[in-house]
Amino acid sequence: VIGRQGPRDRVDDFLERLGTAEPAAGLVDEVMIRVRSDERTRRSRRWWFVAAAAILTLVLGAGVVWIGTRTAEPNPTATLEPSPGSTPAPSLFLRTFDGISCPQAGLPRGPVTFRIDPAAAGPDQVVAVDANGEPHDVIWAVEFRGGTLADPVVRDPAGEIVARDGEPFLVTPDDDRLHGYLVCSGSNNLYVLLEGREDPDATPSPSAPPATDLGILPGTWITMADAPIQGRTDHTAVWTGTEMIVWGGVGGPATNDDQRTSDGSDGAAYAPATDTWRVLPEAPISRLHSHSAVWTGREMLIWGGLTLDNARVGGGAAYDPTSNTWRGLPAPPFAPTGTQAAVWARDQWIVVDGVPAGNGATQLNAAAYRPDSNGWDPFPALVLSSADAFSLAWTGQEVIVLTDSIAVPSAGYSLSLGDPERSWRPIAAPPSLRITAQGAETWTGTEVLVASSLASGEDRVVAYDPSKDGWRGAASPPFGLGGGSSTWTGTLAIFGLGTGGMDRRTVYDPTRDAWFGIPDAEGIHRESATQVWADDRLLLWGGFEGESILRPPGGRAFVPTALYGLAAQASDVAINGVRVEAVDASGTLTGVRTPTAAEMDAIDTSQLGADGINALAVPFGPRAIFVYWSGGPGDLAARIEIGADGRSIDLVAVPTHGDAIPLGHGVILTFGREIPAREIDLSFWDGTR
Amino acid sequence: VRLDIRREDRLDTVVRARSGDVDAFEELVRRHAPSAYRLAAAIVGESRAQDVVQDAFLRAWRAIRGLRDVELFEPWLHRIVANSGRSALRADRRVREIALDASAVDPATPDDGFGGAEARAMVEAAFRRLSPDHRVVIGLHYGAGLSIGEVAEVLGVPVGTAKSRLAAALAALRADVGAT
Repeated sequence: VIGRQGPRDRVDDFLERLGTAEPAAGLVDEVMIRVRSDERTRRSRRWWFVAAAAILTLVLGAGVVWIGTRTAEPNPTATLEPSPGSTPAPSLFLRTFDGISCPQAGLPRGPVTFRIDPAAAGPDQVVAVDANGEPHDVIWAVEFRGGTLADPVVRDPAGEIVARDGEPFLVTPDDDRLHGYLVCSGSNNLYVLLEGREDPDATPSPSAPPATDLGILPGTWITMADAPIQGRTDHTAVWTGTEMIVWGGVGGPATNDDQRTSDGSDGAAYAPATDTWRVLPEAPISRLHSHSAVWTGREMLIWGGLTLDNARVGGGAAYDPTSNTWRGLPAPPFAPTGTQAAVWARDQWIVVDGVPAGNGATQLNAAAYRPDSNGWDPFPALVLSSADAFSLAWTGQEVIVLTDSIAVPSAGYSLSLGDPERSWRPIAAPPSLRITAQGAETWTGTEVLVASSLASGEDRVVAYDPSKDGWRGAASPPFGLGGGSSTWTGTLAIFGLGTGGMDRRTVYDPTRDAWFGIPDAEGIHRESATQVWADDRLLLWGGFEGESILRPPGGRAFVPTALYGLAAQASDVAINGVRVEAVDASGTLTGVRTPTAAEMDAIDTSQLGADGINALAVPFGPRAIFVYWSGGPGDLAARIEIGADGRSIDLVAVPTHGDAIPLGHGVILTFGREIPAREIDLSFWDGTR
Repeated sequence: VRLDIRREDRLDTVVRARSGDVDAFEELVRRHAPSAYRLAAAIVGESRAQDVVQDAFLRAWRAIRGLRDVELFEPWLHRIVANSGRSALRADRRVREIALDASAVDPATPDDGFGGAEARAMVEAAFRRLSPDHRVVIGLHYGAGLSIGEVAEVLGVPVGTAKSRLAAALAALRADVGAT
């Protein structure tokens, strides 16, 4: 007779069985189908990124020169001869333009030699030394990549703009045969420093696809100061308008020598303006992980999840950063299970929690917490025959609840805050979903964006329009979304919140149904970090370091280069700042960035109109300049033209408004790197001077 | 001791896969799928293990070009499987996991003479209540069959730390089962 087992026997029996599980027979085949499909996709995508990045670099670099010279009269006296004193490195050749200065004045002149410093990267790679071997300032260097090089235009020492043969500096971006820098030296000379072959007759690579299909959202990755608390996963992060507050989660070792598994600090707040952190006071509830958090405009509310011992808790807590204090929240009318989702809906917090209801059914419990009354109002429970996952979205009018199941079709419901019955109204059935959001989906202002993973291993995004009660499929993302929902910037949805690393983020523009990539995070790979949009940047913090279980306390910020621009028809663009649309070099709208009031206030227009000056160019943030036309003599307006090559930008003065940017309006030109103020030199040609 | 007489072949396969040879990678998948599956099953349960293994191998394929030391392929792969499992746990911590609670066990399941299905479900439920890190360390050792040294290598921690984590995980599991 075999007696009943004790706890130790039962555990041992369980552990033994762990080592005997066998995969299904078709596992390897299924894996390889996905691998081969992924490899095909990867090969086809590789070129898109290379070409897009090269062309973006080219356009930005060429744009600087173009703007500074396009409207100049040709100067037939300018000579463009190689400098005899240059000593280019192997596979490097140098063109100097003796006697012709870059757009800087008052700097000492003297012979210099340029070389590429392999230890540096980018434009900083250019090093100049004089005849004595002393380093010489490189004022700026613009990197470019392309196939053939037309004659550059430069500026002579007298300050007159000259253009050889009347043509702009132009690098044909048909491939990357040529790589170089346009260099302004401390000797006040302009140089073009080249690597590679210059072969105008060479045939570009036939496999290079057009570059406009997948653009890259230009920007910079910045390392944030390390947090004063332990790194963690399964925490939450909210943006208050000035700080990112991270709270809760599971701590872990930051390095292989770090023996801690969790520290006692609940959370901390990060201020990007000062790159500083402060530790939050201890919350009045146990530290939680896998909980929900929202920002109400005044407080951060937290609820749900599990304690570090995986126990459930009833109530939540609210943190007020103004007073730096916590208060407890009453328990909702149902016990939380740690499988909750929550959204902030106008003036109340809607939480939904799922529990099994027997026979495979699932029951969704929902309630609304109102901070003004500090009380909960329950919704009737919704029992579904089957649901494997659910997620929420707040549309400004109603809460959309989506469910998916492997047993029954996906479903959607609406909870209207104005409905006295507080009923669950079915909405149009969504396409088959496999919800990946950790709680809330993204609301764009007109649509709910839902990321869904397909059985094939690919991901897709579908969008629900509540005004039409209809669904649409978004364009296919260029690669996997990494799970999770997206972070909404106000115009763009940045995916990659879930398992995706920092280097696998993808941007979706719903107004154009187009996808963008984000530049590589310089080798940083972090999994399951939280991400919040902080007005002008994406803040990522926490998560695992690469494939390890280490949880470093550092984070990174991605600061998109502000894409300013102007649609010719946009008559409502004014200097006091309204909606500004961005165009890429091909003229395709790529995004919208509305200047802040502070940025607009910083523009000094006092010069306008004085001494006949009718144009103004001023720094506008570190990577952009603002160009403004006033109503000077004549009927002046300007028109932006995209060059015939599709990649250069032309500002053309026109005598009548027509479809041009009218008087008193401007354009913001954005570059892929920071521009020293002294580098900016913009001139205009109004037809007479 | 067990001699690994096919070591050179093994490493050569990793090298070829690293250079982009899909067929070589398929060899690696066939070789390591069973242990990867057992590790995933320990972390997320058998119903989700198939998905986790597929995801992990796909991620391994995307990342293998960056693998510096081919000798470390196996711990590297197990680390990816463990992280994929952990990610799946986070992604599925909504409704699906609740069904694993002991309260969901069908009481009509016949007793198997070893404490019965109810007792087995009780241990499984206790295992699901462990933290993901504890599940991973148990899965690596008992599921994938790795030695403590290999577990330490996968986790990137000293052997002593791996030992203490495994001991803590087992203690937590036994305490939970005993208290149930």
